[in-house]
Amino acid sequence: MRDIHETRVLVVEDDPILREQLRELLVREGYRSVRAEGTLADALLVAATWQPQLLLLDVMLPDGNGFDLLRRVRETGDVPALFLSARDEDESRLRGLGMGADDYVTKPFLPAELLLRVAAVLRRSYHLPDAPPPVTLGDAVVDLATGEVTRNGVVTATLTAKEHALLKRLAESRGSIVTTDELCRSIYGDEFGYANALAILVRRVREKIEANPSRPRWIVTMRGLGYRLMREEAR
Amino acid sequence: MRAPVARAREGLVTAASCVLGAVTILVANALIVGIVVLALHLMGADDVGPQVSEVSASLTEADGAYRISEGVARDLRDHGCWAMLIDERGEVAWSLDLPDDVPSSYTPAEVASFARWYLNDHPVTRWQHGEGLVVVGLPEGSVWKYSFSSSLTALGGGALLVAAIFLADLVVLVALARILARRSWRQRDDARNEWVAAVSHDVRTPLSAVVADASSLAESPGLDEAGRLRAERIVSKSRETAELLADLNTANRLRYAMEPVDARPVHLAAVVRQAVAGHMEGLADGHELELDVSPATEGISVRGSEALLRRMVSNLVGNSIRHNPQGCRVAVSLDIREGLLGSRIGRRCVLCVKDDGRGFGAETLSTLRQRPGSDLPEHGLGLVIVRRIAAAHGGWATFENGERGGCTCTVVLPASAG
Repeated sequence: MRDIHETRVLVVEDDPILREQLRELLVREGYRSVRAEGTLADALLVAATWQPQLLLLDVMLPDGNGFDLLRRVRETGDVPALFLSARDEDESRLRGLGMGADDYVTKPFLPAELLLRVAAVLRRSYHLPDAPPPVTLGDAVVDLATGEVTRNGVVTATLTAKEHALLKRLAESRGSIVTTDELCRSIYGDEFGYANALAILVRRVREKIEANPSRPRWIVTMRGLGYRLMREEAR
Repeated sequence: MRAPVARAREGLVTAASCVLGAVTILVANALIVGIVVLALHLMGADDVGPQVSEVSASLTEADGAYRISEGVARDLRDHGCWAMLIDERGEVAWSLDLPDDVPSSYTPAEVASFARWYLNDHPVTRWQHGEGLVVVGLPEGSVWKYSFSSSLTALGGGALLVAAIFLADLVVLVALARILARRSWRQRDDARNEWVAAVSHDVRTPLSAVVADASSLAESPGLDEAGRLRAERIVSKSRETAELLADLNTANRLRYAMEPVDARPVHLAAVVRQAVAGHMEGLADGHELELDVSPATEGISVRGSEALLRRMVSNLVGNSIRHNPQGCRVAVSLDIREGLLGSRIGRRCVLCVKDDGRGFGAETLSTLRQRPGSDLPEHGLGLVIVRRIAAAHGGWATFENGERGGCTCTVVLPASAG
């Protein structure tokens, strides 16, 4: 498998309208094999014969629940699963008890968010290369795959691993504030004691991507909160 | 991490009613037993035959011979009784229907020993008559007599023992009542929680369909700008509805200050930053949001649920923004209040959300000042939840209006050790 869109995705959701919407959403996004079922029994049958490579499961099904379904499907093979949860109680189960879920989204979810999560679960489970689109910052372009900063077709700088991690995290939430805590967790793996290191790291990245690092246009400091990577149109 | 005062109050009320109930039952029982015994005794007294005093009174002496009146003699026979007169020498001077097993002469010691109780298993009563002693015997097994004597000390000890056993019974009763009451509360809570969770689930699924369609619509190229804005509004309002449902669910679960199920150390400063950052996005013109996290709070954690604490901060900020559509300045601050003598014992985190907007209405303020656990208000669920989340984490929330307008919400939470 080279492309996540080649995966066979089985949607199990009892609400017929939402089920069809989910199927359509995935097909529109480019997933070529998508099937949708409404009951645990039907889903088990399809799982046995069709061998899905990703399960998108509603927790509550008319004849059981998504957790049971996943457990029974996993008896025969390891399949990643993403849950659709509509109950707070399920969320605490999903978070805490290791029900085998690779991820979950809460109803009602934004379609774009669901697609991002589906793609992330697939990449993680099948070790597919993460091919993030290049980050365009005015006349500079950062290729996150190589870490190279290009200006007018000329490579002007290369990001270190930590600098790359910082820009990647900010680019994932481009236009939104990412708190210092979140940045530290994703760059250093810990929230505490990296505030100064983070500030230094941000300065270094700015030196590589900003036209004027002391008056940053792209990585903007949100005082007391964190940083925001500005969107292109938001100049 | 319950609301201890409310729990204690409920407990006291239950205990008091149990004690009162037990005492009432005890008094009622004693009364009933007393009345029944008295009634039986009165009825039984008639039934057992003539009183020995009557027999004695009707026994007359004429010329060395004794006679008893006909009526009393019949009465004695009707009840199967017998009677005799023992003179001063211990001889039976007169008798009526004396059974064979009753001797006809007695030593003073024998008289003393039977006189009050039994004579050869016949229950007897006696009466002083002139120079002799009238004895009336009842049929065997018709009356139960018992001699009781005790030293006063032992009697006192016995009374104490009875009191102690009674108290112990009360304690057992109270404990039993508490267990039963708690079980019924839990069942009721569970039923309600289940119901609200089910409703919330049932509404969220159609909401998902609404959001999915409205989102696709917003992205469809055929739509003009106004149409796109409308579609986006459907998305945001649907998500707001879902948030309200989540609030309702949370409020319901925290109604009896149930502790967070997934309690763990939560870095409060990070939660506050995240919640404030969330509100920073899409902040309308005229609104300002400031955050001041004291460096002392960095790395300090509060034991509890991260999701609930984030909801708490978010509700506070959201409340200020929502209720001041004309715009306002919201200042969020987080600080540490040192514990006992500046130590870590009793150290608390103080979260303060202050705005310069309209302030609370009188009604809202009074609702917010009622004790936690009282009924949900019709409006302002968000702040009630703030209070409940604070209580569930062993802290409290206060709400007040500023002297020059605006309002201040303060949440105090115990910092976890370490």
